[in-house]
Amino acid sequence: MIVAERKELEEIKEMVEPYDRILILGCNTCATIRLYGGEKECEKLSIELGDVFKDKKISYKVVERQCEQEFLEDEAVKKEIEENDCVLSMSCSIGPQTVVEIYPNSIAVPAQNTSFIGRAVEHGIFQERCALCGDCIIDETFGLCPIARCAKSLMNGPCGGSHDGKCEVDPERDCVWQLIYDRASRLGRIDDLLGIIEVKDWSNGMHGTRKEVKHV
Amino acid sequence: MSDLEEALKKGFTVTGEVGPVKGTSTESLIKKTLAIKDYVSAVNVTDNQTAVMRLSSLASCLVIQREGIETVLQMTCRDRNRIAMQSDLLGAWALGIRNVLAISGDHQYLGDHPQAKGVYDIDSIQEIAMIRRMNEGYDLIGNELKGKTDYFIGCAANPFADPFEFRALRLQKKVNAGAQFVQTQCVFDADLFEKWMEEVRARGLDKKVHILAGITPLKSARMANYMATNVAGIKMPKQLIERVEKSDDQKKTGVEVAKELIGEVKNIKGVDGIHIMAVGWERIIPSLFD
Repeated sequence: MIVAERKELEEIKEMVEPYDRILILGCNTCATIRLYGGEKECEKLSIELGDVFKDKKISYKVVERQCEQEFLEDEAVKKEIEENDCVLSMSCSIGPQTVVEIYPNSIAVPAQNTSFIGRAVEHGIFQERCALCGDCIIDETFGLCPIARCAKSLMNGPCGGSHDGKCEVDPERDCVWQLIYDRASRLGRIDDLLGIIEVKDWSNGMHGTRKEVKHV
Repeated sequence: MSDLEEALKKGFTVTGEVGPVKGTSTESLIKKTLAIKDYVSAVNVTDNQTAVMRLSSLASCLVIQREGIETVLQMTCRDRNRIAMQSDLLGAWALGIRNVLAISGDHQYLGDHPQAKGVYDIDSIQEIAMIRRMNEGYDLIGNELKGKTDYFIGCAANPFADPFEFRALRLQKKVNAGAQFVQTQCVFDADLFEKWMEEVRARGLDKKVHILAGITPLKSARMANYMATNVAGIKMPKQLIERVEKSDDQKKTGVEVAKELIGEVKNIKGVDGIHIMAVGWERIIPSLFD
């Protein structure tokens, strides 16, 4: 799931300030399950903004998925987007980008800082598990991703800052190389870690090439 | 062959370390270097140590080498991608640098520019392998170099970080990648260090890589406490902190402790020398050899 965190109200206020009619657009998939941009959160933000901007028309609507064209092209959604000056998207950053691609005359701004893709480690707590690097190596690291979960993305860790199983950058964060070592140890395969993981091909990731997958 | 490699081949070797300042002033760099020059075979120059932005390691190395002493260029993976690293390594060789220390580097979040984007394109082990390749005359993807490097390749090792059992194995990876010498994290607990060395010897690494034990003279109990609690991967015995705390002359006790540690690590099989990290207290180094 894609995990995001709502921006501070101050920042959102600045983004929507120039517009009179604001449509808060929620998303029923990751944003709802991850509790950042579903109906409840849209309603809450509309009240907060309504308190600040008494003269603006603020409404909200939730679509099934903002990452898919068909849900944004729905007639009722189309009408609302066209009737408002600004779409304040509550989805991950795919949402506002899809809105402006489909409706070139529209303005769409993000209410969220899209953080990572990850999973719920316990109820309501989400952790990153994938950095979308485009060159997966977790077969060599016992199923745990050091690119996403090591502060330095070390492919041959751990660095000298691993302490009591935690990371020197953030003592609340697990040192993924400790976890990798623990798994290797449990499986009796510590010497597998002697192999050097070679330099990575980042060109499949966020470094210039087109990221497009065709499922046709 | 670099002076450092030659010294290590001859016998017990001492190296020092200096950190550049934030700014263009090289005065303190030269002063610190001159203070230790007669006691060390080479001076290691840190690369934006503790992730605090400073005068570059390469520029500082050149300034120091003008004083007639060889340097070890530190190069972290934090601030440069593979293109910049190789380019700087070629440049450093062309300008007379003969030793390099490959390290991942302190994380940018812990320094003075915590908002910075970290690079970490490659890691320190991959960096070692990359430098070995450059020594063979090729860049990382196999293009031939017009004029190759011949660096004496160093790495760091922290015997005291977790998981302890993995530490010697990780050094083995570095040696397999091409590391020829290693500087360890500061040793304050010689017994624990010896425990790590046992593992190192069991893997035959003492025969393959020159090992320099890290030594830091403690200036005060405050410094001891700070290092014990704030520097990752430092293991400092409580008795040692207490000994400095109770002393009437903490500096003197700090020097005594360092001298004792030097004596202890000298006797450990497989240790080829010491690397002194005086962190600003370089002028004390001569008294470690009284």
